[in-house]
Amino acid sequence: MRLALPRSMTLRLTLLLATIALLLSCFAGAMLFWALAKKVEQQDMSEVGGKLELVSHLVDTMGSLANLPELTKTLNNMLAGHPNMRVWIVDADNSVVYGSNLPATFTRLRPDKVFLTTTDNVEMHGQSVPANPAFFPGGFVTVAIDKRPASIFLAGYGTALVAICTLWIGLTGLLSAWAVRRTLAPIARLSAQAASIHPGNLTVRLDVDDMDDELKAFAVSFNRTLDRLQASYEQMEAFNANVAHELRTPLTTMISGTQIILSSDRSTEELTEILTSNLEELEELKALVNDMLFLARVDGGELATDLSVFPLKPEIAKVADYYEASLEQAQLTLATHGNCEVLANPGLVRRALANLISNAVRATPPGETITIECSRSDAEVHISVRNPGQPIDYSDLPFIFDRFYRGNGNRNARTDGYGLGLAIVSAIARMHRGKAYAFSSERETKVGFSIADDRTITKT
Amino acid sequence: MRILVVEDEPKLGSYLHKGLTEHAYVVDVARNGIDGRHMAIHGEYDILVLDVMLPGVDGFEILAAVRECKDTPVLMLTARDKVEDRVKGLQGGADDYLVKPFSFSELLARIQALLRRGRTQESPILRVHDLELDLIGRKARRGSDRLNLTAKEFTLLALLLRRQGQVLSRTVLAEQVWDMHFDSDTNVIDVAVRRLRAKLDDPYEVKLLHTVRGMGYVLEERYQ
Repeated sequence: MRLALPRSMTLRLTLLLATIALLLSCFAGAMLFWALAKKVEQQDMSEVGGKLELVSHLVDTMGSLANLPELTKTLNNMLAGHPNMRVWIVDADNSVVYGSNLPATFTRLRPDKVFLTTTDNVEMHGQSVPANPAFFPGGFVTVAIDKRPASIFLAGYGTALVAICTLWIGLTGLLSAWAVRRTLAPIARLSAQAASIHPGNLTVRLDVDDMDDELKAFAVSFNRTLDRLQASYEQMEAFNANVAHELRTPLTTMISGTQIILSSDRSTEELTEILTSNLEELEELKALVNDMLFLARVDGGELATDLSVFPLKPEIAKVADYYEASLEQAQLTLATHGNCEVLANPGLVRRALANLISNAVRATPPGETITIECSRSDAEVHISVRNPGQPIDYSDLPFIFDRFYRGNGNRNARTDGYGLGLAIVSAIARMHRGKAYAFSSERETKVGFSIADDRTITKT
Repeated sequence: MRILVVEDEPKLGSYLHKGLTEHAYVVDVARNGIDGRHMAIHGEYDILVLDVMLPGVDGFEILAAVRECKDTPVLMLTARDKVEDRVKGLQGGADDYLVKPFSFSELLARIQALLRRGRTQESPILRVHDLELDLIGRKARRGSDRLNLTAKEFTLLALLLRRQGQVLSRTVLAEQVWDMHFDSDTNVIDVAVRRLRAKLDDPYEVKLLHTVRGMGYVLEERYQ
């Protein structure tokens, strides 16, 4: 199970660092204490060892048992300056030859190491070796030292260690908090910068120049997102402004026309005339609103539905039929090249094609031929309309699929419709995961769109 | 013919009442879903016109309630033209669908189509004045003259003749004749009608195909 850590990077990092300090200092303290305890014991033992050697030497050199009182005196003198140390010499039947009362408890830890408690309840440790068998056969010489002074010393040392470690952990915590806060400060700065971005100043970007590498990647991609947002926001704004502009003229016409008619008594003919004129304007507004809704839905990511597989030629023929009279009137002929099957929404394809032909009919000089071509390349189907005529200006070419773009700055030509025709072609292409394109040369212009159709690839 | 219109928007409701009444229908208007459902189930209507978005009970619910006991033709009206909505309506048993903003003439045309559906066998020869259209032989004549029409011109004339006296909008013509279901450049229809008229009316004294400004075209014999 994951430990539930607090949802603050500062707090979390500080806690983690303090925990690491705690663990490390506990470990270091324990090691230090253990090493010192070992050292102190070694010191006791080397002292005991020295005395034991001395006692054994004195026993070895006492000559005969008659010199025992002298040995006792020498040993007493030797111990006079060592209140923590005791010496016992016992013989085989465990009777004391030298030393005070026998220890209350006596434990042999190793062949020569012993632990004992005196009758006055002092815990001691020391060494015990067989005594010289010439005088005390089966007897032992034992030298022991009081453990209390070492314990007191170690206890003091331990207390100091705990105090130092606590201080260490506390300081580490405080310093970590400071360091973490300092390191994370750019995030707060970033957040303040990001918060200052709103629709009114979409040009503001996060300052990536003096940013840490870890944050730079984030800030750079955030800035890219902002670039995209700004572009689509500006497009949307321009679109809204255009829509408002387009609505203004017909609304003005209708309002003032209706007001003039209502200002005095009118004949039925006049009333019919104004209502009819209003109706015409309203029909156009309806078409505009429908086209805008269509574009808005595609902008929202709507893809084509009701897809079916159909050959393009009959659909092209249907659209050609629709324009037959218009073509005849404009003295144009229409040719179709190529045929292929496509997976698409037939209604939408017809609509896109109708818009392309409608544009071509307007742009082609009388007597010429408009050519519709369709072909397949890999996973794409291309449908295009080619016509001779005045070339589209090179500087206009990138914008012809924009909404309300009419080219040549001819914004008021109502005969051209609202300038949404090619935007709808582009939208229909996007609904089929394709795109619209245009080429223009001195002699002819070609505008078309692609439809993504990867059926054959997925099918085989 | 009795029509029930369930529409909560008062202005649209009264326009529909007025317009349909003037076309000789008996019209009831319900202003909310609850009244609408009651009237649809308990009343005797030849066709129901249901708005989808209604306070209380929505159009889909009324449709579902009606379909449990009747198969009166239902035409749905909606401001949302999401595909799912259309599918939901048609699967629920609606007979037709019209997206706002729609024109009254289109609503009328669709209502008439629904009422006509599955009735009377059509005669294979259509006539008005001296115009005669043979639907089987696909031949058209005015008096003794044979009219030389293209296939689409014949279809267009047949539609106008079948609905003689009724104004057909450019949108309806584009849909029914050319299968173009969108607001395209309506000028195209005008050009096509002009060409048909050049063959049909121009050489003759009595004009049959008339333009109704702002609404569309009508084929009828007009007496001066």
